[in-house]
Amino acid sequence: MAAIVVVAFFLFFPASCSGLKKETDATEAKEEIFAMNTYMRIEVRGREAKEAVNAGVKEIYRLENLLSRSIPESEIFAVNSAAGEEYTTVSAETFQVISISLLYSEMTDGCFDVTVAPLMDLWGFSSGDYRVPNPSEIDDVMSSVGYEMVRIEEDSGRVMLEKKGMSMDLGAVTKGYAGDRVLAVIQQYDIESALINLGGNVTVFGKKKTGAPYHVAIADPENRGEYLGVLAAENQSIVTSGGYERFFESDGKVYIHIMDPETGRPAETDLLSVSVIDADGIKCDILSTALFVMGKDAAIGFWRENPDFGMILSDSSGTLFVSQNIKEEFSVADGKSVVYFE
Amino acid sequence: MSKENGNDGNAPKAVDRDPAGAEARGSDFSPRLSFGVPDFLLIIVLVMAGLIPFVFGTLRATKESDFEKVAILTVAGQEVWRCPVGNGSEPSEFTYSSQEGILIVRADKSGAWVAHSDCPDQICVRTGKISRAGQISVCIPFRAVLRIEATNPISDAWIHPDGIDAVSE
Amino acid sequence: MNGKTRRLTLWGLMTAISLALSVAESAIVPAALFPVPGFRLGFANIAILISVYIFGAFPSIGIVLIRTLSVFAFSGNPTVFLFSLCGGLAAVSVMLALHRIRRFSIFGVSAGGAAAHSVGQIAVAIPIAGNVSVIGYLPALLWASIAAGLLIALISVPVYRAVVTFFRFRPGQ
Repeated sequence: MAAIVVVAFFLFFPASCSGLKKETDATEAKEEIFAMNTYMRIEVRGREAKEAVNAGVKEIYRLENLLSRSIPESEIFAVNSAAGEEYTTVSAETFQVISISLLYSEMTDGCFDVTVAPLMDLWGFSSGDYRVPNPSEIDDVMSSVGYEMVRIEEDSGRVMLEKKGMSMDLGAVTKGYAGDRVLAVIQQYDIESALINLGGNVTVFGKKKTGAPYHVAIADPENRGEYLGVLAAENQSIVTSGGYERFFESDGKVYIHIMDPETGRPAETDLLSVSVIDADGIKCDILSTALFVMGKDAAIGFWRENPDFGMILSDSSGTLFVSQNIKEEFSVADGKSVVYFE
Repeated sequence: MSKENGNDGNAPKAVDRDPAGAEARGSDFSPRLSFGVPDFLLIIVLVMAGLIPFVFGTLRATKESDFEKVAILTVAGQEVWRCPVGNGSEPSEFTYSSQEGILIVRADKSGAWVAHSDCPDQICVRTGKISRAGQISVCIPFRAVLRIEATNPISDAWIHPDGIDAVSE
Repeated sequence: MNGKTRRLTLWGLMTAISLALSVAESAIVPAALFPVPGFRLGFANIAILISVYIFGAFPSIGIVLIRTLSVFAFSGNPTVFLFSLCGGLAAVSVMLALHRIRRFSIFGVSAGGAAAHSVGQIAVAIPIAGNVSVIGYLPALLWASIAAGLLIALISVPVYRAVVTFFRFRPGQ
């Protein structure tokens, strides 16, 4: 008798289990788009997932039209066109993004600079016609590079580039800012969780259907099919910068797309990649670039002074340097040597 | 489980005074607490049973959902090609052509990759082989995305220890 | 204490112990130690195994149900709940069956139950995942759990002896 009941239990439970699972299914929606010159994907789970995704996509296009350097109708295009001539009145939002960028430029001693655009043009990273310019050309262009030459007027919301030939490119901030904005927009809907991937800048909200946190891998700069490790992330952004994505080779030397504003040349750093983890996406985007340019020791020094974010560095010897505060969430891939610092 | 029912008949001597089983079943005999020959035989049988999936595993995979993963190529958001990736899947190739030129993707049992692209930056080709659920290889000029997805909806570590949701790069 | 009260007390104690062991296990033995996904040593099975020997079917199943429900209440993870429920019920049923046949010692009973646990988990994973390839995990999971089952039996023998002596569980009581 008892045995029959036991058997019945065993047969009955798998059936009831699959029924239970259907009830917990929330609606899911996802959309992939090409914007800001990269691939973007928004995945949302929750009752209003579809509406949230649509609103998120709209927000991306709105920001692109506001902040792109190459779209003639954008506010940044207007500011660049008036370089050396006059002030341009911009929206409060654009003004805010510019002032945050300048703030971080100061904080990182100029390792992050939104005015390196003329250098990007010179080296061919804007057009794809890569070339190594000669030193005098670099010196020429360097005279119109420098965040100190961006004038902003808080009261009137006006911006001006001091010199003719200067140009501002918010490309290294826009994706980070867009991550924050998309998250804010979709959170106005009834949703449970979201995964926003803006060209490798990842922002996550909530937990997956299974109750597990999202697993965000950090790309291995030396072997793209592999990972440095996987981060269990919840309500944060993860941004990685490295020279491995866009670069060109000339006479056996590799030139990467991240410029060192100090030298006017592609950054020569002992780091292969820098990942920054924080709830503030714009901060992640800016700091990942700035810390990459700084190099390992300066980056760790910077973190020690401002230890409120998570940081993962990979250096040219293949060693990982991981900040102590994300030790729990970040599982390092097999075979990688790792140093935790605090 | 039928085995258990069958043995009910073989063991009528079990003292079943209390049908609710509240009285200890083991009360009329001393329980065996040391490893014996039947245990050894049982363990051999169980270990052998673990081999059964190997026998069926290679024969079974016919539907896409029988594989753990699938490679999917989308162009401008539209799916143009998909191919199962995993043990037993056949090598496969797909050529996509547009005014940009041609894009060739290949897949085999270990993963999928962009084998050739007429795009100028070659980021997609440099990305190389992708093999884990959640990985992508993107070609912006073609608006093409090659992605590995788990055919299994549970991307938990339990089922997919290597499954991830996104790559920060 | 008369026999019934003693029995009930011990049953409650076993339930609590099984719950405590399953929680403690994750703290003591990190899951990362084992290469097989989903594998645990299953310390909680010590309590289940002993209860199979001293209580019989219903009380043992009761312990499994209470344990899985309690762990679910703490974790709130429905997927894990389904896996542990189906695995746990499979394990306890097979333990009860093997115990009843009386040809096997506690080692065989424990190993069989542990093997059933992994088969039960895989069985529930297939409909949830809608994917037969999950079976690929069975061999590793099965073999690891047989080994774990033997270890659990090894631990359980002295514990069982102690429990029987301490609570004076003797035939006819």
